[in-house]
Amino acid sequence: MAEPAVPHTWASRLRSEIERWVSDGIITPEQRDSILGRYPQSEAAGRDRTILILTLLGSLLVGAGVILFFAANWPKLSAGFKLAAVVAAVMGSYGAGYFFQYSPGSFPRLGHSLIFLGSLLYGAGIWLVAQVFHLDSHFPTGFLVWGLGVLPLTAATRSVWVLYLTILALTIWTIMEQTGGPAYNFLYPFIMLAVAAPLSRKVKSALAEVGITVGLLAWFLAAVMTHLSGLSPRWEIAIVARVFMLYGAQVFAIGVARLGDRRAFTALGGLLSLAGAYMLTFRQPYGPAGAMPSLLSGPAVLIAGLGLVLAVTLAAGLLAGRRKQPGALRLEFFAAVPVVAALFAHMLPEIPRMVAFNLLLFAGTVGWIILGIRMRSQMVVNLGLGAFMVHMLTRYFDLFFSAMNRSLFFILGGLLLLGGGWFLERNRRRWTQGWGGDDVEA
Amino acid sequence: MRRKHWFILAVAIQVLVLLGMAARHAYTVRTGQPVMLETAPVDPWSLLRGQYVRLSYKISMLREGEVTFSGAPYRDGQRIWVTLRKGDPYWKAVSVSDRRPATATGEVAVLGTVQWMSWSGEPSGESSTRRPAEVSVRYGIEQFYVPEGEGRELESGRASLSVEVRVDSLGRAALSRVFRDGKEITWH
Repeated sequence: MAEPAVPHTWASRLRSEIERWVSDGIITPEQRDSILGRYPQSEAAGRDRTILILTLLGSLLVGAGVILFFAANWPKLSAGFKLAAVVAAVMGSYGAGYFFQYSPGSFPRLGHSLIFLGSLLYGAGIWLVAQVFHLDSHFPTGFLVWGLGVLPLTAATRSVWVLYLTILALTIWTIMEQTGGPAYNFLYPFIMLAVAAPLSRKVKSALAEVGITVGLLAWFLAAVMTHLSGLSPRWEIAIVARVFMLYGAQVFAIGVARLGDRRAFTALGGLLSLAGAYMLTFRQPYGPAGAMPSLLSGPAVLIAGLGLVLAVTLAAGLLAGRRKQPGALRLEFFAAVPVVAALFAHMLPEIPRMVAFNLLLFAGTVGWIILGIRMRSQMVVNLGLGAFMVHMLTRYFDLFFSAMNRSLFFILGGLLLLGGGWFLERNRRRWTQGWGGDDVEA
Repeated sequence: MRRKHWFILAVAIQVLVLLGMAARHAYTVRTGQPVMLETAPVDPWSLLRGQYVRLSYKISMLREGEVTFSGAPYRDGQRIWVTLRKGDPYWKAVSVSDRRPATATGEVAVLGTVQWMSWSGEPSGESSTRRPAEVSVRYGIEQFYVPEGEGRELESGRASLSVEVRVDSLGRAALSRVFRDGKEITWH
């Protein structure tokens, strides 16, 4: 009897491994065939993915070609003809996409790609109509009209690629709006949280959830920097670093509380927190000296809002976890570490702060690797090992670049890298031995 | 509602957006009052939009002494009304207001957006005692799209450029025609 569908990466690895088992005499070719026979869907999934990638690439090429064709602004074509051509291209692509995706016995992957092409053509159409009629409106508004225009299509088709496009267009819009002038643009988080996030859940796309999370970080950073405009670059970095830590803690808490995709949110949140801590391990070299501003001197509404969301997340995660595993150590508590560090970093003088954040980063990286082992996630372990190496190399360059003979510096640096690589590879193998797939849920 | 209906509705919204953009322009050009303006070009290029000539007008920079300001101070991004008076041959800005002004014969009020402004008077004084010195305004008529390769020729031609814009009853302006040395530019 066939097993249920399994992840394509897992099945692919099984197929490559099983040939080695046969050649090593562990199993017979007949046993290989019967094992592979349990996962017939994995072959089809691989083919489907190839078809989807090919047709999506085709859509992107056609979309780029159409944009460039109209960008040439051929004078022989009248304005009415150009408008009709744009509308016909959009409707034709959607019509063909619907036919191929939903008609019985047809080609759903091709249909999906054509619907995606239609949403690209619609975006191109906004600027092409502006070109035809010499319209000169506020440029970022084009991205807003694009993102909002394809949003209902995402709901109607559940197309994950159209959803990615929506998130991308709206995020470009808010970044352009917020960096072009002082603006908090509260419409962006509202659309993301009230519309795009539920849609991501419906289409079950962790990547879309991660895209929304990164977009909201960009929005939050731009809003904070708007409030703090005029600050010296020295302290802008310090503010950005602590926003990364606060926001990373929030995302991490969502992940470990399983309020979002566990692996994606845990990994992203941890990375953001570690990146924020890393920024504060340096002596701040730019601008005049002075006391680091408190994070609470930033926009009070935004910081308080983030704190409130964090508190709600933690409470929901703790309650859910207590019901599932009474008395177990909750990982949510680790989210408190970057929060406390971010809120109180300004109280320390510069050198003690650098030392404290180096220790914190070291502890955080080690804790991150342990978490990856506990979650049985190679991705988390590998990211943790990478972060560890980056931290060590940075300090090596900081401390020894000016103090040592150059040739000795590079020789020792090279040996450090080679030795570190050997050490990490050996331990990673030991830790991840027997996990089987790329990532295994704990 | 069935999936098909939702799909049709979602596509219809997009088509209406595209047609609406064209219809709004067509309304202004068809019903608006013609206004001649003197202009000077620059020449950017954009992947999404192709090649276009960026037009700068005398009415894009409004200066104290040349126009009167009411309702100031203005903030960046604020919509303001600029009253244009018919000249020979070009129209000139005569006043700026934060509200729609009454216009006499030979005048038209057009909506613009404040890009930035500078001040005269006491720099540290109360905002109510400060007066605008210069106000940079955008009207939505600053781009003229040209076939690929034509923009540089326009810019290097050293010819005098002027445009005819149309201003509709809602104060919206739309670019109608562009002239080089008094002769309409057309590639059709």
